[in-house]
Amino acid sequence: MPKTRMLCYIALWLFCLSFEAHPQQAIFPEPLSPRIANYDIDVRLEVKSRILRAKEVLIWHNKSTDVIAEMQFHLYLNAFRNTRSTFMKESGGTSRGNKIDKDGFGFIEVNKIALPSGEDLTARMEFIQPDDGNIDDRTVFRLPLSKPIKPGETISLNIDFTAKLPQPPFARTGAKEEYFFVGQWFPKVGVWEDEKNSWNCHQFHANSEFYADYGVYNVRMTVPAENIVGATGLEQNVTDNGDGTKTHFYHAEDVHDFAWTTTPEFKEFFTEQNGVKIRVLMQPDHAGQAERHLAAARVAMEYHEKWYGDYPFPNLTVVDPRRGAGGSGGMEYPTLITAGTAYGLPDGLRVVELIIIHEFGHNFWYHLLASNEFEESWMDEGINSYTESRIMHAAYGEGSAINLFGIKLDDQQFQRISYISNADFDPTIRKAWEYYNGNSYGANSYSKPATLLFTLENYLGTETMLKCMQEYVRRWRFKHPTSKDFIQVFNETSGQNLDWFFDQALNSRATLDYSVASISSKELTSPRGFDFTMKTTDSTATDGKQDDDGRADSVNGRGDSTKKKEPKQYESKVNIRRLGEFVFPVEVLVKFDNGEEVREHWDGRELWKKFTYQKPAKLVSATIDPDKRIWLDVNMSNNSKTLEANMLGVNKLSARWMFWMQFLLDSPEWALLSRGLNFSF
Amino acid sequence: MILESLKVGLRRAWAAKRILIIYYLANLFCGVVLAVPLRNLLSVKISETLLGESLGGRFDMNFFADFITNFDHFGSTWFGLVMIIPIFYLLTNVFLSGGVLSVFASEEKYSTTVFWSGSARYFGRFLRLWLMALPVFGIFFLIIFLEKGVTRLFFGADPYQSITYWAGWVRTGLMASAVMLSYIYFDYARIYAVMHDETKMRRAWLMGLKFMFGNFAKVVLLALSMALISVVVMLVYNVLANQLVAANALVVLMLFLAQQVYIFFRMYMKLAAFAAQTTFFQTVSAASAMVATEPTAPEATDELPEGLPA
Repeated sequence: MPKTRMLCYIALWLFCLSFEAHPQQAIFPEPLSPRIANYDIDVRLEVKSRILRAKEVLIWHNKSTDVIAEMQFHLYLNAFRNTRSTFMKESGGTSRGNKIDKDGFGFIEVNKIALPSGEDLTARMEFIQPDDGNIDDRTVFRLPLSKPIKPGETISLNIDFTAKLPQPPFARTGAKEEYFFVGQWFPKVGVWEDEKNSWNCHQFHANSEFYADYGVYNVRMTVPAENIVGATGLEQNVTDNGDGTKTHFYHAEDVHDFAWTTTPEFKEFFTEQNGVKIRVLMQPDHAGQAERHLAAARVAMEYHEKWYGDYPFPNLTVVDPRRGAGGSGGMEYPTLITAGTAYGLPDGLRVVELIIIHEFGHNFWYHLLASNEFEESWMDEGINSYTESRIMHAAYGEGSAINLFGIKLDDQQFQRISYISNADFDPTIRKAWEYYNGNSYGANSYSKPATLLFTLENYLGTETMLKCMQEYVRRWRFKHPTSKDFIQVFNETSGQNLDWFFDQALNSRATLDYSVASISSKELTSPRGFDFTMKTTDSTATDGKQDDDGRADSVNGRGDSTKKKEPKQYESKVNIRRLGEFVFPVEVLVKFDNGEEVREHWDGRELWKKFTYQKPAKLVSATIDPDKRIWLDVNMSNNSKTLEANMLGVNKLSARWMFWMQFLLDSPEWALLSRGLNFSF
Repeated sequence: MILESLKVGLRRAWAAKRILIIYYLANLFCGVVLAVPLRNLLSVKISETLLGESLGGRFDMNFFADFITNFDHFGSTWFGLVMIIPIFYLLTNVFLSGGVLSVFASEEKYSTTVFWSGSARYFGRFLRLWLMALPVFGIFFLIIFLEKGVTRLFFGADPYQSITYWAGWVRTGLMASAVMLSYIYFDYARIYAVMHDETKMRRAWLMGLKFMFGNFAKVVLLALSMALISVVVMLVYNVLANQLVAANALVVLMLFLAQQVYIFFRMYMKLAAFAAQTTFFQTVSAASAMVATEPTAPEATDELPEGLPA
């Protein structure tokens, strides 16, 4: 015991020593998170070879109730080591349209891993492949410890490593000429899950993001003296080394990852939102769009704080990737996000705004609430896509994503298009690499959750939805929430049991599709044949029995020989079908030609429902979900029927289509010319 | 000479209204064939829904999403037609151009006999000429690579996006130039073939090139003048069409009429181009024939220069 205690003291002393050597201002007076995984990294960038040489000190606290005999680490950069890694096999060598150059592969090598006492643990390292058994994948290793870590104890490990960045930036990390975006770059400890009594440390997959514990990071980056650096956290100081390099020291608290970028080309722009300093690092040829970036960042921060709670960090850095380095664009890290634009991008094409609002949103749904993106990607990407669409609409109105040449596309509509194109391959919750394909991963991680949350918002009402979301953020800040936690918050806060909804939406691939199958309306004539007194019925009587609402419970009426001249009666029928497996309560609006409207509510459980009416008016139309609240409906076109055909829309669309055909037949060169100009990101 | 050719071209094209209608009907026919599958599909799917009315106004992106997802069988039907109709349209245009040029070369208003016999007479020749001209079109399109070469020469292999963006516009301009040169060349080669009743298309191929490059500035200026008129009318049409968005039958009818008037105008400009270029060709040929005959025949005769129709 004394020996263990001694080791702990040594580790603590070394940890304190490292802070003394590089004093930094504390960002928060009190820790906001458990600060389990803390890193102190000294890294030197060799520009020409794209090599990083680094020394890392990891101080890891066992805050579980378990005795831990081994540790597990991610070596993400080994995904780009060769074509045999799991990432490369799954991706086919292409990620978001980017390919690694012939000589652009990257890697990470742990040269030495040792305890502060000097005990070398390097030989104990063993690569493991917990997900697919691919022995050529070296993105995870286990480290059996010479001494288990008991609950409440701390371990410190000194790790020497060398890494080479892929070129061009691939899957969000890498280099392009003088530009470097350095993400997923250091040996990173997995997450010990107390309840499972095991490490959660998955291999790096083509369709997955990350999961990590919070901590404090002190990172010193040595780069060419002329370079500008942007990184997670706050810059503490810059030291000129006198050898043409400078060391930039960054400190970050209560974050669970650290990324940085550097190039001599960055142009810096600044703004502030509610006391948070926003710094935008632009490429020189995009400097004209700096205000667009700053404004989008302000919008993102304003709405997130207004709707979902406080952004506790003092700063945000937005990075504009270099031309030819789009692989590092559109990515999130704590307090550092990457955007993406193109020179000449029209204002109406709101790519910049959409990306920045989305990536900033991750600072809530991935950073403040550190869910497991390997296993429940929807909890970050999906919730974030929903909030992104809400903010885009609030900030930019109709045509929030595209408003160009008369074409208007809302972000919310865009989400729905993406979802319904890949609606039924997988349930929403799956491990990221187990989806049918990349499109299914995209639909289930991004667009389906966004669409289902819009549906839920319309079901609960905006106020209740906001309360639920705010409570979710408040309760799970700086923790690792799961889908169950999310659902629990919603059930408790809304005061309703929503399991029926989430079960279908998250754990099944059921699609939601209600359709008006048919409608009819015919004039009632009196029944013919014998009545119960064996007399023939009056052929002109039209006395349909109906309830107060005019709905018939029987279409058989009795003849009345003493009839007065009454208005014509019609029997109208509306047949609704549930075509998908997803059960959801629906509203049906039935309109009659005397202006009368009837709203029906159907729980949607059965396969069909028939409504029959007897009224002195003819049916005009029947519409399911008349207020367009059910965004999960995979086919809204079958949601209504009219008794009379209306060819206006058919004629207009056909005429437009024919016109374009006539035009292009006569001038096919226009199709060719439109290819001349394209935006390259 | 250019302005005069242009004026004559516009006047003669208007005078040949029957040909204009034939051209328009050919275009309309192909357009209808390509539009029928969509119309049938929409009739079945939306005419008896509320979309039947609402889509008469602004386009609904939710409907678009449903369309591309749920009506995907439309694509296969339509793509089948897309493989056939443009070829049919091209052949029709090649066929009709023989008749048009015969009429314009004869300086008559319109003669059914001249038009249809000209169409029939030159169809085979023009088809051969078109095939022979393909390499020429290819060479014209090589000018597009000028942009890449110049960009690389001055800005290296990794230029800023500001360079590639403007280079994109230049590339588009070069593409437009290549298209225009191809049209000009093919038109003058055909005009030569008709004016000389040439049966050897190799000769027409060569003479077309010779004429175009011999009068390069003028032929390009004439073509640009026509293009400018077309662009102005296109802009006017766009402004008008963008106003016609209300969901009522009259507005939809007005939009349809505006579209068809615009297409009719395009056909008119196509004929006007033929007429103007024929006039230009005749004027230049006449002038050069005069110059060529002057030393040997100082006394002018009433005979027309060689190659011009009687």
